[in-house]
Amino acid sequence: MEKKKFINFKMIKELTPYIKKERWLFLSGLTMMLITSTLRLIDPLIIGHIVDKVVPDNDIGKLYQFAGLFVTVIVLSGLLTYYQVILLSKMGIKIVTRLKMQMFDKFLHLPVGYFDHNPVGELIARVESDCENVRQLFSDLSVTIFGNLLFFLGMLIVMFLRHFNVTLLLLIPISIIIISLFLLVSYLGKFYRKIRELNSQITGIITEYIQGISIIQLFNQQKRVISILDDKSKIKRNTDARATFTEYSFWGLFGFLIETVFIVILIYLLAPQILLGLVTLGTLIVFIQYTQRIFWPLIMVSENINQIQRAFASIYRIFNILNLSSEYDVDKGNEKHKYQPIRFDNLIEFRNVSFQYKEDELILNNINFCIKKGEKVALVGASGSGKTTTISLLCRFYNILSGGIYVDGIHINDFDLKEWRKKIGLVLQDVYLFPGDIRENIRIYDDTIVDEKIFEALEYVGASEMITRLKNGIATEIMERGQNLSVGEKQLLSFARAIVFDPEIIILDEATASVDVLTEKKIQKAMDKILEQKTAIIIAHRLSSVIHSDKIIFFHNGNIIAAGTHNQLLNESNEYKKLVNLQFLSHKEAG
Amino acid sequence: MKHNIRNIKWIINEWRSHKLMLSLLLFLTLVSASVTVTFPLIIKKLLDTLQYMVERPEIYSDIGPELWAIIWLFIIVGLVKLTVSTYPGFRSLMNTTFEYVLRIRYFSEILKKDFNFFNIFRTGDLVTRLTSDITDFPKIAWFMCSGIFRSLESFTKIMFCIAAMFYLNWQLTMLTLIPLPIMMIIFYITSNKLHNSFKKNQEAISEINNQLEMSFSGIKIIKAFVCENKYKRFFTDTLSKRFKTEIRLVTLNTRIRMIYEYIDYFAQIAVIVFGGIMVVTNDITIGTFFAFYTFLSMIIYPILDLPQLFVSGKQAFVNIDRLEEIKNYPIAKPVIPAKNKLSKIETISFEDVSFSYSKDEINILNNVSFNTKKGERAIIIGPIGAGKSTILGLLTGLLTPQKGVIKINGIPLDEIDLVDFREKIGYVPQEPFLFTGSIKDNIIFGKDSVSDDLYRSVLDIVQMKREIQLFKEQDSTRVGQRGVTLSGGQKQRLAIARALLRQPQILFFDDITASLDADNEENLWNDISKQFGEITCFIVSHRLSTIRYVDNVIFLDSGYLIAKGQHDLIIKQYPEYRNFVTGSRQISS
Ligand SMILES: Nc1ncnc2c1ncn2[C@@H]1O[C@H](COP(=O)(O)OP(=O)(O)OP(=O)(O)O)[C@@H](O)[C@H]1O
Ligand SMILES: Nc1ncnc2c1ncn2[C@@H]1O[C@H](COP(=O)(O)OP(=O)(O)OP(=O)(O)O)[C@@H](O)[C@H]1O
Ligand SMILES: [Mg+2]
Ligand SMILES: [Mg+2]
Repeated sequence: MEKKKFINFKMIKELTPYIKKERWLFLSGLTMMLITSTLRLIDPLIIGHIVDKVVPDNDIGKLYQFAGLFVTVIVLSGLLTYYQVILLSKMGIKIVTRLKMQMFDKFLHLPVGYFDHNPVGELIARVESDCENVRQLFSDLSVTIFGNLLFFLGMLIVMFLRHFNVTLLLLIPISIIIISLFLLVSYLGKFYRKIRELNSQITGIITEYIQGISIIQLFNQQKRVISILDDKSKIKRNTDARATFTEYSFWGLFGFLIETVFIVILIYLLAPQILLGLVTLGTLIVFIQYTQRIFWPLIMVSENINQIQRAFASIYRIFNILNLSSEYDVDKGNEKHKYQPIRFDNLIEFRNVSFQYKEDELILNNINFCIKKGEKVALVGASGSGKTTTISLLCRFYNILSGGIYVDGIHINDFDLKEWRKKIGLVLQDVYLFPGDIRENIRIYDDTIVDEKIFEALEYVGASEMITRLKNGIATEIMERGQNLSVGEKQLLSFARAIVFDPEIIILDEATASVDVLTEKKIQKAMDKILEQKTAIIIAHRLSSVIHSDKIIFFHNGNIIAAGTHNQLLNESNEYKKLVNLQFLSHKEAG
Repeated sequence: MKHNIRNIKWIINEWRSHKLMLSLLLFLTLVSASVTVTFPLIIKKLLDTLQYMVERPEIYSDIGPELWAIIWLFIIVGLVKLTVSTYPGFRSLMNTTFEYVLRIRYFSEILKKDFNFFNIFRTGDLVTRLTSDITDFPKIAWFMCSGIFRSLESFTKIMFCIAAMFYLNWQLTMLTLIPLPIMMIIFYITSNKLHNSFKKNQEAISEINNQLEMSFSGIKIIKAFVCENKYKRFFTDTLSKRFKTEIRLVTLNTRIRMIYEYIDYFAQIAVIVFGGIMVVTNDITIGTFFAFYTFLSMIIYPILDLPQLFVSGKQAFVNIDRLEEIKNYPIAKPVIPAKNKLSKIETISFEDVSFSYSKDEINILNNVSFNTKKGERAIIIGPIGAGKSTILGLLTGLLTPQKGVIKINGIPLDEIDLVDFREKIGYVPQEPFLFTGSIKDNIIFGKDSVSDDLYRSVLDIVQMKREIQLFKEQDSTRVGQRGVTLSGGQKQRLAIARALLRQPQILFFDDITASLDADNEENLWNDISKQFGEITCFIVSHRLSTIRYVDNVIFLDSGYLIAKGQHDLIIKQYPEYRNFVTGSRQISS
C-alpha cells in the first residue's frame, strides 16, 4: 500500500468544487451549527447564575427571568438543529449523487482494457458503497466538526474568563488527549483503507459466483466457493475488530481523563478557594458542566473522525478513478480531423499493425491488409490467432502498439471516437443482452427506430419466427444476460441490433456460430441483400459462412499467412485446404 | 406487528449461538449504566458538602477528610468505568461476527437455488442483499448487536437515572416526566411511516446496483453502439429516484429525533422552574437541584439513542425480510443427499419427458424419449431454440421435468444422490463461464487434488498446451472475469479442460464447436477417443461435420424429438432430418 496520509490536501482540494456547488446549503448549515454551538454554551451559565444569584437572594422573579431565557435558548437551538440536519443531509445526498453520476460517467468512458482487469462487482462497490461512505462526511461530519470545535473553544474561553489558572492546568490533560487522538487517527487510517478494499473484493467475489452459479452447482464446488468467501470475510472481520478495539480502548482512556481526572483537579484546586469565598459554587458548577460537555463533543468528534477516516479511505478510491484518463485522452491523434465528418469512400487499410495486450506478448505482428468499400472480407484462422483482436482495434477498443489503421488515408485515431464508432455495426463473439425487453435491446433506447424497422431487422436475421412464438412479441422481457433465451436466439438478437442502425461497416464476430446451418442459410440470402451497400468484416470458424466473401484473410498466430478468395486459397494454402476438408461432410458421409 | 415478532424471533435465533458473548455484553452494559448513574449522585454529595462547609467558614478552611472521601469516590468510580470501557469493542466484534456469519449463510442459500430464482433475482440485487443490506450502518449486523445493546444501555441508564431522581425527590421527578406520554403518541404516529420509506429506499439501492451491473457487463456494447449518454440518463433517473427516497428518510428520521430531544428539554425546563422554586423555598438542596439537572442533561443522549433503535430496527427488519426472501424462495427440487449412489453409469433414458420453464408458458420439450448406453456418443442437433440445451439441463439435474422421468441405470433421477451423480459428469456450457483467477485455477476448479500428469494430458487434449506456452506467465496467466482476457475459442477449450479433468463418466458438450476451429475439433475428438475411450457423450452441435465423430444422432425440432439413430439410417428414413442436413450443406468438396 502506498505510504500516504489518510487525509491529504490534494483530496481536500479535489473535494472543494463539490462543496462549492452546494455552498448555500453548506453555509446555512454551518451558520446554524455555529449558532447552536454558541447557544449550547449558555445553559450551564444559567444554572450557575441560579445557584449564585437566585438562591442566596430568594428571588423568584429572577428565577422566572432565567427560566424564560432558558426556554428561548432551548427552543431556538432545537429548531436550528432540525433545519441544520435536514439541510446538510440534503447537501450530503446531493453531493453523493453527483459523485456517483461522475463515477458512472467516468466508467463509461474508460478504455475497454480497464474492464478486462476489474471485476464488475468491484466496480459496483466503488460506485455504490464507496460513494455512500462519503455521504456522512458532507451531510454531517464536515459541519459537526466545526460546530464541535467552536463549542470546544467557546467553553475554553468562558472557562478562562471564569478562572484562568484552573483552566490553564486543565489544558494539560486536554492536550494529551488531542495528541493521542491524532496518533490514533493516523494509526487507524490504514485499517480503514484495507477494510474498504476487502469490502469491494467481497462484492466482486459474490457477484462472480452468483453469475457462475450453474457451473458451481454442476461441479459440486459449493464448499470451495463458500470457503473462499469465508476466508475473505474472516480477514475483513478481524481487521475490523482490531481497528475498533484499538479505538475503543482509547475512548475509555479519554473518558477516564475527562470525567475523573478533570473533576479531581477541579475539586482539588477550587474547593479551598470556595471555602475561602474567592470562588462561587456557581463557578464550580459551570466548570463541572463544561468538562462533562467536553466529553461529548470529543466523543462526537471521535465518531466523526472514525467516519471521516472511513470516508477518506473511500474518497481516495473515488478520486483514483475519477483521475484515470478516459479513452478519449489515451490516444488523441491529430486534432485536425476531429470535427470533420468522417468519410469512407475507398479503403480501410491495416498498415504494419502490431499489438499487445501485455508487455512482451505480441498478439498481432505486423498485420497488413486492406478492405475496399463494399467488400465482404472474412477473417479466418485458428482459435487464438488474433481475429477478434484485429476487429477490436478497428473499433478502437484498444490502442495500437505500432503501425496504424487508415481510412481513406486518415488514421482512425484522428477521428472523433464516437463518430467513428457510429459508423460500425458490431456483433460481438460474446453475446451480451441487457435486461429489458427485446425492442429496447435491439434499438438500444433509440426512439427514432420504429417498430417496423426492428421487425425488418429481425426478419433479415431470421428471428421473426422466434418472436412470433413469444407471447409478448418484441415486448418480451429479457432476463439478465438473456438467460431466458437460447444462445442461438440471443445471437440473432444481437445480430439484429447491429443492422438496425444501418451502419456503413458491419463487423460480425462469430455472429452465427450458435445458429443452426439451416437458419444461417436463410440469413445468408437476406444478408446478401442488406450487405450489398455495406462493407462487412466477417469472422467465422464455420467456413460455410464465409466462403462467398470477396476476400478471405487467413490468420495464424498473429500473422496473416494467406489472403484471397476461397478458390485462390484452396489452391495456394495447404492449411486452408485442410481446414476446408475437415469441415464439410463429403457426399458419402452425408448419405 | 406479526411481522415484527417474526423478525424478533429471527434475531433471537441468531443470538442463540453466541450466548456467552451476549451475556458478557449484558453484564458490561449493566455495570456501565449503573456507574454512570452514580456520577451525579457524587456531585450532589460534593455540592451539598461544600455548601455545608461554606456556611461554616470558622470550622472548614481547607480540604478535609470529607472532601478527600469524595475525591476517592470519584477515582474509584472512574476506574471501574475505565475497566468496562472496552465493551463497545466487544459490541462491534459481535457486529462483524454477525455480518460474517450471515453473509456466508445466505450466500450458501443462494448456491442451492435453481434457474427460477435467478430469473427473478438479478445479480446486482442479490449482491446488495449480501453486502450493503448486512454491512452498512445501521443495517442488520449493526442492529443485531450494537443497535440492540446500545438501546439497552440507554434504556437502563434512563431507568436508573429516573429511579435515582425519584429517590432524591419524587415530586420534582413527577413534574419533569409530564411531557413524556404526549411525545410518545406523536412519535408512534410518525414512526409508522418509516418501514415503508426504508423499503422503498432499499429497492432504489438495488435498482442502482442492477443498473451498474448491466452497464459494466455490457460495456463493449455500450461503447460500440455509442449509447453512453443514454445509459447515463437511465442512471441519472435511477439516482434521482433514490435521491427522493433518501430525503424522505432523512426528514422522517430527523423529526423523530427532534421529538425525543424535546422530551428531555421540557424536563430540563421543569427542573429549572420547579426545582428553582424548591431550592428557594428550601425544599431541596442546591446539590439535589444540580443533580436533577445533570441527570437530565446526561440522559439526553441515551434518549436520542432510543428512537435509533426504532429507526434502525425498522431498517434492519426490512433487510432481514430481504434475506429471508432469498432463503424462502422455493427450489423446484431440493438437493437431498444420501439417496441412491451409482458407481457406474450404464444407461441413461428419457421417458416421455415434457418440460416448460414456467407454468403458464408452452412446453419447451414435448414427450421426448430416448435411450443411450454407456460409451455411446450422441449428438443432439436441431434448429435454434429447439430445446437442446434444455435437454442437457434436465440430464444434469439443473432442471426438473414437469412430466415423464429421466432414468439413470433405470433409477429415476430424483431418487439419485445428485451431488454424487454430478461427481461423475463433465459439463461444458454453451457459453463458457470462467472465474477470475489463473488459467490453472480454472482448469482444476472441479477437483480438489490433481495429478500433474492428468493436468497436462488434459491441456493436451484441448489443444491448449502450445498456446499456454506462448503466454508469458504460462498457466498462471490470470484470466479476467468470465475469461474476458482470452479468445472465444480459448475460453471454450478451458471449459472443456475443466470438465475433462474430473475424469467423468459422461460428458455434456453444449455447442462447443461454436468457437472451435475444425482443426482443433478433429484433434480433440481423436484425443478423447484415445484417452477416454469408454466415455458417454452428449454433444450439442450446430456444426454438421461433428456428426462424423459420433455414434447416434438425436434430432430435435421445436421441442419434439423427430428422429434418433445412426446418421446414415435416419437420413434415409426421416425427410425432416434430411432437409435439415442437406438443405444446409453448402458445398461438397
Ligand atoms: N483482453 C485481453 N487481454 C489479454 N490478452 C487477450 C485479451 N483478449 C485476447 N487476448 C489474447 O490474445 C490472443 C488472440 O485473441 P483473439 O481473441 O484475437 O483470438 P481469436 O482469433 O478471435 O480467437 P477465437 O477464434 O478463439 O475467438 C489470445 O491468445 C488471447 O489469449
Ligand atoms: N430460463 C429460461 N426461461 C424461459 N425460457 C427459456 C429459458 N431458457 C430457455 N428458454 C427457451 O426455451 C427454448 C429452448 O431453449 P434451449 O436453450 O434449450 O434451446 P437450444 O436448442 O439449446 O437452442 P440453441 O441452439 O440456440 O442453443 C427457447 O425458445 C428459449 O427461449
Ligand atoms: Mg475471437
Ligand atoms: Mg443451446
